[in-house]
Amino acid sequence: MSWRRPIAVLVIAGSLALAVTALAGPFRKAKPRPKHPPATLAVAADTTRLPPGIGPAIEARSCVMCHSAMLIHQQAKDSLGWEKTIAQMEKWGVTLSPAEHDTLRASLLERFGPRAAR
Amino acid sequence: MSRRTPRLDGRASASDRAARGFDRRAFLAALARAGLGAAALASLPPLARRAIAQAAAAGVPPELIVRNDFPEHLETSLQALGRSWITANSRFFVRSHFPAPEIDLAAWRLEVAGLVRQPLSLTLADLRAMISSDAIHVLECAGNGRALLPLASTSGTQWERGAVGNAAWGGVALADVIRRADPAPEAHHVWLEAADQAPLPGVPRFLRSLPLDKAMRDVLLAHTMNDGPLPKLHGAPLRAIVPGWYGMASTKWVTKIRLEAAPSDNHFMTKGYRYVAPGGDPAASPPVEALRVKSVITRPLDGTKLPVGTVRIQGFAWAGPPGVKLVEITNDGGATWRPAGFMGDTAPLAWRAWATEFDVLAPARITVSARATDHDDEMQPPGAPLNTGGYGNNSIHTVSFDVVA
Repeated sequence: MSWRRPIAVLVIAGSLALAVTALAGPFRKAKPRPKHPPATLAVAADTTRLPPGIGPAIEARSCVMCHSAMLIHQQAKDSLGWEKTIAQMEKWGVTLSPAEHDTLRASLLERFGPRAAR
Repeated sequence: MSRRTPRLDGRASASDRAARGFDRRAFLAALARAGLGAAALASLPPLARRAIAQAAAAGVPPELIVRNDFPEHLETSLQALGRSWITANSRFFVRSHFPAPEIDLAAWRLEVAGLVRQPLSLTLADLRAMISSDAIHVLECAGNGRALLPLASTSGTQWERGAVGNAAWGGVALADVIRRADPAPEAHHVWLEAADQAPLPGVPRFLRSLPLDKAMRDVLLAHTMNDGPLPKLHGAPLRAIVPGWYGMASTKWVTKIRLEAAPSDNHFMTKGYRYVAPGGDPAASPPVEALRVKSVITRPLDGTKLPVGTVRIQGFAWAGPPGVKLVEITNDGGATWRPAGFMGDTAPLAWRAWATEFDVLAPARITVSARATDHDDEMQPPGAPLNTGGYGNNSIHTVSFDVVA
């Protein structure tokens, strides 16, 4: 019965590989996203689905109950601008931990930073 | 009865397709043109979906551009804007601070309170029984043109040129309602409270106040739009129309009017809708109120091709209370300006249609600008003064097009 052993090993290895792939899926590192193109007017294009990443996950939990991410993603602000916006929303009832606050600001700044001079 | 015009190419007409019902393929094609995915479209209000579907069936670009799908911020395309002096409800821009509220019309009341001797609670029937008042007025969002300003940091919806429209509004004069409530002598401001609210209770309700003299002069409480019931997205059952002022003053879903001694200190009065210079204090900055004089070119569209011969340039112009006096055109970069002619209907504080023509006898790239001047001799500037909110952009509109053999 020596042929049974390799098959059992293959089955176990395959199952493990599938399980690891399935478990790793949600935690895969997000690909670096290109910076938000400056002065784009095609605002609808980037708004139907949130990109992977922690910042967008915070948006999905804390922002979109009042307005679509579409409204956020067409704006462009420097660090102070996003800080003011997030602080305003917290004043109005959005709850963020200090770490979430900083992560969200950094994420928004990275993706929707100031526009290039025109 | 509608007229049916047979198409010469044998294809089904838009009305034929519309008559057969929903054209899913055309609808999806329109969605793709609009740059929208199915998820975003599913959340669009029926008005927007219908407008996009109709445009798809007709084989033309969507008349409404979705700037935000929740709450609805819908912009009229320039092509659609140019179709008529009156902007149809189906293509009139929409800007809402919060989702359109669900209102039980049977229970709905307009409350009038505050510094009045006779508080009121009026039903829609009560309002309809009052002397009716109607007028045609242009309505422009204060942020119209924000996307076109050279701001490195910009907040809010990135409107281009189509957050403006001209409609017939019907209802009662706000002055009649205020007189019926018999205001006390110390009442100097009229607060208009709205029914819409954000899902988070900590977000301030939308509220705008008006000086009493403006409220008594020409403000409408409208329950009709273009001779039909006021649509929900436009503030049904009742909205204010404040002629000559930017759209934020024309509060939608009005449910309560309060007469007060002072202006409201609501967020949308003291922080929003102010012309704030970079680094400035909103509360100390001038409020956004009267429309700035402005013109828009609706034909030809930027980047189009036209045949050699006579070229027609047309559009609309509007202004605040002084009214628009003049529209001028240049096709030599501003070296010379010549007046365009006003045409069609006119009404106080409505927009005016204008047009002019010139001959182009050989293929060329043509650049045309239009500038309007009001009766106070305020002229549209090449570039509007910058403010952090991106309000009141009345910069001169320039289009370039190719004249081809």
